[in-house]
Amino acid sequence: MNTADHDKRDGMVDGEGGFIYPQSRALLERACRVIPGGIYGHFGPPPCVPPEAYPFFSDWAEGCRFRDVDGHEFIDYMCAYGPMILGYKNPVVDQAFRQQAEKNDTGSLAAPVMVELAEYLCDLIPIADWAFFAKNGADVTNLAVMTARAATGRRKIIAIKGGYHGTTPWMQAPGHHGLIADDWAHVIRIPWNDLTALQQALEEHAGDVAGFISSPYHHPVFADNELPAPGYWDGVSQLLRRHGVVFIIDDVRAGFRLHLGGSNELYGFKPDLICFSKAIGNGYPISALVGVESLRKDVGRVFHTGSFWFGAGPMAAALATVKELKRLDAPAMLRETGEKLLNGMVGVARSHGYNLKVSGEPSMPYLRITDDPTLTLHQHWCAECTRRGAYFTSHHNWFISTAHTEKDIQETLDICDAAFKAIRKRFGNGTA
Amino acid sequence: MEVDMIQARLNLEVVLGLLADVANTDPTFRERSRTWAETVAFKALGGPEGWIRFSPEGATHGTGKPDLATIRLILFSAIHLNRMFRNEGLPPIPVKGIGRLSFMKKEFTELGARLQTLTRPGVTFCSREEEQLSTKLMLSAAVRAVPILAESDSVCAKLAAATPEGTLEIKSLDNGFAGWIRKADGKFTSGFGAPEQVTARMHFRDLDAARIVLTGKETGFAAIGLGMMRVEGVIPLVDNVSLIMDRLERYLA
Repeated sequence: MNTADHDKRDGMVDGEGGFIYPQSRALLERACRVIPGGIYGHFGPPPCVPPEAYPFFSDWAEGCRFRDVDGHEFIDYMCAYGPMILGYKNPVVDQAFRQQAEKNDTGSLAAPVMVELAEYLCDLIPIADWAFFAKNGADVTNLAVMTARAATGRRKIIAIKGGYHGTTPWMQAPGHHGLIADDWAHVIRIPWNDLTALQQALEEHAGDVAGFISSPYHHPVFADNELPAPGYWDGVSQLLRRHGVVFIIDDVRAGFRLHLGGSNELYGFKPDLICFSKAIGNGYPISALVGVESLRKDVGRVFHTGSFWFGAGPMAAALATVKELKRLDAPAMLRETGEKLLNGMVGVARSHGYNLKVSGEPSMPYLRITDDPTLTLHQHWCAECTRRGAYFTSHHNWFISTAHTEKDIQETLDICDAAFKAIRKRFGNGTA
Repeated sequence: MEVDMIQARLNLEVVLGLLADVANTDPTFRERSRTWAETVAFKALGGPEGWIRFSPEGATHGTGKPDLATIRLILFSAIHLNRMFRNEGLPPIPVKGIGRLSFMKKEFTELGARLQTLTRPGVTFCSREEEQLSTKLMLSAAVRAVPILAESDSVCAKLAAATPEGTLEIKSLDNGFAGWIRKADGKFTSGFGAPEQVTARMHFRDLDAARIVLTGKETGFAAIGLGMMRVEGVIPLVDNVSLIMDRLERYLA
């Protein structure tokens, strides 16, 4: 579909052919009456800048596309903020879920598929000698930290400034509502790629550091993403081993998009624990912590559970997802698709006189128009793309799925072209 | 102790500022306060100093020791000063202007009562103008308070350290209010009017929308989605400044 086709869609458009969202707005008004804030968390309106360019509610999705409640269709580059990797309504995954759910799902006993999934992950992931399942990424980042404390008898956790590991109080930045100073008292934040800072933290708190937690590469919001510097992970590994600190990789966001054995395999290092969620179930709710043999006893002693953590349907979906990802060699496929998209977009930007900077990995890139340091121009460009059918947020890395096709990429590039024209017309040669 | 000192600074830098605002803009005090010729200085022993001046040119305020105070008041401590601002406890010790204390007992007390009325949560206003003045005072308090909190409140100091540098413009798009908060070289400053450069924007559709957000009738999330409020630019600057502003209610309820 090219940009000229957009007017033929059912959804309402404004005078310039950009989407407008009366049904989304009406639903948000209803939501605000009964749900604090209307829509909470990362789906909430604040990162959608300007908000009138974005839909808030969707009622259909398939492949790499979703439709909002106003009938507009979008090529989705947020992929549910990561869980969608094989496309919405993937027939293989959905069939596996349905077959299991027909037998049993959440019940009074664990299902055999739990063992099958754990065995499969232990075969697939080089460091994994065991696996433990939960629902959200934070369930397993919490378990990883508790395991590190159980194993070492120590208190402190070292994390990266700007790193995100969920919304449990210890993981949140000081000053957010509902936190007390005790929540962050034992969390030490150091800059990314900074071995000196890590060494200093380890020495300053010698004998009291239980774990180090980090994503495999740095993917903060509102900022360029950063890959590990040469030698960084080797240096981290050596320092942690020397100080007897448990090495935790939070692969919740990047897991299975960069490497099926854990993103650490791409960068050539071996952590003690890896946290997975998001893509592992292609949208079905499940997370996993995998770890090395030496921590089996410690994780087994930690009491950590949840009412829905034994749901067999999502486990069957996860098993089907990882097998399908392996069959497709998904990480290579996502990299190739991402590179095509990004090279195309940078070229389109250049043709309009803009500099589009790409950072992070091509399968989950972060982009930024560098011509305006306040990000406002970039925000308006992402908004213009969204109003034309390519769903981009401006603050967060995007995600590529195996369902994104050459045709989708070409349509996206056409939309980008129209969006650059729109911001040039609106802002001229200046910044926003 | 930290709480008392912070509260004392907020009283001298924010509340005195709001009193000057009321004197300059409230219809019941605008003309009347121009007939006053007093400079009142407050000093908390071991704590901050501040002053407010009333003259035919209008009311102004500042920190430190003023030139030519007509009334000089000493408070034994930050706690004593804070109690005075709440109309509680022992009166201050006048060390200058004993003969002019009737101004403190009458005009100044009436001005303080007016400020309390205008900023009391849930109050019903007699006019739209009065309600809008109340909203402007709430916005002014937030703008004035951020540099103080960023410097002195331990939680805000952590937020401040994590805040990107730049200028946040805070504006009501019906031209009801314009102010800014800037972080430069690690220090926060704030002011009123349009800033020279803008890094991030927090714009309210109008003063009514600002009031809905400031009084907590709607969250920032909802206000943005419903079009009452708009943020753009370096959003972490907006987020962190908002969290700092939220801490003000711990000190000045």
